[in-house]
Amino acid sequence: MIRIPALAVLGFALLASPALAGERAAADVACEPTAEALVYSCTIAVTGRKSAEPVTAKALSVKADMPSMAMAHNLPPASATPVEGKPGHYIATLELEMHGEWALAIEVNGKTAETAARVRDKVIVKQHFAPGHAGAPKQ
Amino acid sequence: MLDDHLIGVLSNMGMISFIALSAYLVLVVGEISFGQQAFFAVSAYASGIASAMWGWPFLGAVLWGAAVAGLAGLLLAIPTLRIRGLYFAIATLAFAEMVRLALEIFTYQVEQDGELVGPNGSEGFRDIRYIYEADISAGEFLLVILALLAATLAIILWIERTRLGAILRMVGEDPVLARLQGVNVNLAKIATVAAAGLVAGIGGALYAHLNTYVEPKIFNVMLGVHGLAYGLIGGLGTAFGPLLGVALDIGVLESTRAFSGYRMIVFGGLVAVLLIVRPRGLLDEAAVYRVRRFLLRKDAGD
Repeated sequence: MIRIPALAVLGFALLASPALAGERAAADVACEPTAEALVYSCTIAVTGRKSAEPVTAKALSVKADMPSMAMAHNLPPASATPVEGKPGHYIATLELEMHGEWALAIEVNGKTAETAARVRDKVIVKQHFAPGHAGAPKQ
Repeated sequence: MLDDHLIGVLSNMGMISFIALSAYLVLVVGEISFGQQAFFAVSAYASGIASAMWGWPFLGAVLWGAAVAGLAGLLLAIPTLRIRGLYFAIATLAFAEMVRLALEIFTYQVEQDGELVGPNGSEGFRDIRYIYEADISAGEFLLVILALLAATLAIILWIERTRLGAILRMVGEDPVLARLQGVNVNLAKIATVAAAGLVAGIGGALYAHLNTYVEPKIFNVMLGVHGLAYGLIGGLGTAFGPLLGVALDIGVLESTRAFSGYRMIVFGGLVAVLLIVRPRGLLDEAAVYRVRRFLLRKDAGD
């Protein structure tokens, strides 16, 4: 049941001018092919965009979408889990449907490791996946 | 509670429904458009610029994007007034490609907080992050999409029940006869194409804000073909038709994930079969008439 106060808050948020909240995120993604066709293991390093501090979160969500077939050709979000001993590093497995250019939308909801600034952001990283090759940043 | 994937699928269905309704409006006045994605694109960029660069509130940015898309519809409608059928379809496709190619070279950036923000040609337009700054969740944004879709659908359904709706159908069926009945066919077509642009524009503005980034490649002909096909699948007898088309297509695609990339072939097959079996879609005029008659009889029986 949706409560009226919650809708009022949402309505206010939609009518108000945006105010910058918290730190923004930056992400580096490196994807390696696995033994299984079209399955890639991706390591994601997430940092605060200004502070460059690692961003810690329980999990990240990675959603892949093909820009050439927007809204029709996308994957369910994959969960990226933290790599032990490497703050700000996460690992996710992507099961693509075909090779080509994919836009990875990394949903970050965590905190910077040292200053504990809140980070809620979506980082878009475009990768080109070719048969038998590591995913490469789109040139 | 809905999971993230379901929220994403429903959001996509809601946003693409605006293109489907937009293409449907053009179909009602008897023309086929392969270019409704252009209005989606124009609004995505215009609304993104308004909120991310000019600091406008979200609803203002959506209205602005839709208005600019409506103006773009007007700009398309006037020079294409004298062409019909296949020629109109090709003109809309050419217009959409012109818009997409223009966005490939469109650069307009400003410095914000030490970073450049704004459209950057083929690199696209990132950081349209209103919903993150306003702390709106994906579920809450889905409610916004559904509310705007319901309002748009209600307006179209209401128009369909008025004299204006009958005039638009008449223009679509036989423009010569409509003209003989005193209908201003040119005005009806111009207004409809502009309104169709506005409707697609609402979807474009929502898309830009949910995804936080747009690039010209997103607005290719595939998007327009999908939007058009939804009306043809779902039916041209009522504005519910395109929404049924969206639900069927995305429903089938989502339920056939086991077939991986091959499932996309389903879409083409679905359109081909339906065009042979039911040329005006599942909810065509005859089906809508039968449903209405049934409901009226039921009311009379009660």
